[in-house]
Parts: sequence; structure tokens; C-alpha cells
Amino acid sequence: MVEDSRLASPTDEELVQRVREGDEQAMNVLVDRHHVVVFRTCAAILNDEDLAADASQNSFIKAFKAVARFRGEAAFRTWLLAIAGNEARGLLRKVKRRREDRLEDVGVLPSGGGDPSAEVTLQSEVARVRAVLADLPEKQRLSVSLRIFEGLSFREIGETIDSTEGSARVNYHHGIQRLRELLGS
Amino acid sequence: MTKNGCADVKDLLPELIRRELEESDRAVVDAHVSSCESCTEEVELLRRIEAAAFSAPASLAADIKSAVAAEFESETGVAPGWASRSLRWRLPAAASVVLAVGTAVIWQRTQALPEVGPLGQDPFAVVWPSDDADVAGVPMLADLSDDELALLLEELGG
Repeated sequence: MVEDSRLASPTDEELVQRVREGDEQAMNVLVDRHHVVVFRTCAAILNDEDLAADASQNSFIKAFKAVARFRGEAAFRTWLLAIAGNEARGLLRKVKRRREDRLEDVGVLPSGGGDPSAEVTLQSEVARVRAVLADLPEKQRLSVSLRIFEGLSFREIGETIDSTEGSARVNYHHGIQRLRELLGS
Repeated sequence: MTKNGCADVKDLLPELIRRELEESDRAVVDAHVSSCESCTEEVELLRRIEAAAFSAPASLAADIKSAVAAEFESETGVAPGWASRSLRWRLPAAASVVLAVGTAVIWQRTQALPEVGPLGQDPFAVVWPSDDADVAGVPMLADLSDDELALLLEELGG
């Protein structure tokens, strides 16, 4: 009975071993299992759904290409999230450069006006919370997002943001405190 | 949960709003939250934050799978899964080659020299008509020691 259950739901480590042997089905199971947490990690850094989807896609491609180098010292999910974080940061740098280039092309934008449609969007509660969340330092933002959206433990968040478990806890609580101040809860 | 002060309870509030607390912990956390204004406010805040989560596009998993398959296909010329599929026939094929070469060598070494040609002539000149022994190969195998043959078989098998 235990054996059947194990076969029906292989561990990440078993799937990774099968991926090393070129098993496409094992890749698909890992994508099904982790695409949402990878997406949310990328979204926490990029604050943009389309960019987060692109970064998620690239994260899985890079992870599967590098799977031979995965030594199993951390959980596969933690390793994958570290790749996703790097991928999202790289994409964010590219996007910022492109935006700066465009601003240089068009000169100084008129101040104060703003985009009316963006103003309307920002009035919504969701957009407001996202905007405030996006203003947090990255480690606080990731700690809050991964803890609340995905229920990751402080230990796993610490490994993902390259900090200790204690540091992840502090980042989470500082982030929550800041959100409380800015959102008025 | 052994303590139930604000700090301990606040660590568990994400699990509370995600409904992932065990029954015993949930009772303790619920009891604390209902009597603590700060924790009640924090639960409300966490719910607002949770509602602002980006939702993964419905097609994301399928898109990732397609992109992964396309990437591996463009790099190797074959879809992922080629390695496991090819290993299924490569290993038996390699074993067959090793077996065939080994059998041939053993057979050759156990045979008497061919009784053809006059004494003093190279017998391999008859069974192996090529003058180029290096290319022909078989005379070289015959000159190898048992250890060298074992090494060769190991290399062929590897």
C-alpha cells in the first residue's frame, strides 16, 4: 500500500533523477508541481504578470538544463526558486534598461499628469496592495509573498533569499509592519 | 505549539488564513486572535495581501512544458526523453558487441594454427590476406597478453 502511494506520487528527488535520464514525463510532473510558486516568486520581484510568466518559463528551462549540477544539498524546490529569483532579477534589470533607453529617446516626461487609466487601476484595492508590496525591499517582499501566498516555512524562505531562517522571519515581520503602516490596517 | 504569545501566534497567522493549521494549534490561535486586537488586525491585513496575489495564467504549466520541449529539441535535435529511450537499446547493443568480440577472440586463441602453407611462412598471411596487420587487426589481438585483452574488452564495454 505504501509502495503504491510512493509510485503514484514520486518525490521531487526521484523525479529529478528521472529528468537526469531524459524523462520528459518527470519534467512535466515537476512543472505541474512547482509552476505556481515559481510564478509567484517571479511576480514578487517583477510585479508584472506577463514578465513573471516569461521568467517562470526560463527558470524551468535553466533548471532542467542544469539538473546534472543539482547535488541535492537543498530541496529541489528551494534550488528552483533560487534560479527563479535570479531569472526574475535579470529580467527586471533588462526591463529597467529598456525603459531608461525609451525615456532618453522621448526626453523628459511631463510631470503631475500621470496615466488616467493607471490612476483608475491604482484605486482598486488589489492594485494598491500590490503597489505597496512592490515598494518593500526585495527580501521583505519575497518573505511576505512566499509566506502568505505559498505557505513556505521561514527556513525555506531563508534558503531561497540566501539568508538564515531567523533573518527570513525578521524580514517577514518587518515587511508586515511596513504594510500595516502604509495600508492603514 | 507550546507558547501562545503574540509573537508565536503571528508566526502562524499565514497558516491560519491558508487553513493549514492542525486542529490543536488552530484552537489555540483562534482563542488568542479573538481576544487580541493587534492579531485580529494582522489577520485582516494578511487576507488583504493574500487577495492581491498574482494568479498564474491558466495556460502557464502547458506553456512551460511546450517551451521546455522546444528548447531541448532545438539543442539536441530530439525531444526530451531521447536519452532514456535510446539507453533502452544502447545498453543491450553494447553488451552484444562486447560479447561478440570476446567470443571471437577466445575462439581464435583456442584454435590451432591453420595447417596451410609451408612451415616458416607467416600463417596469418593465409587466414588474413592483408599485409597491413595494423589495419587488419586480428594479428594484433593475437599478440596481446591476457591482461591487455581484458583491458581492451573493458574499454569496448565502457
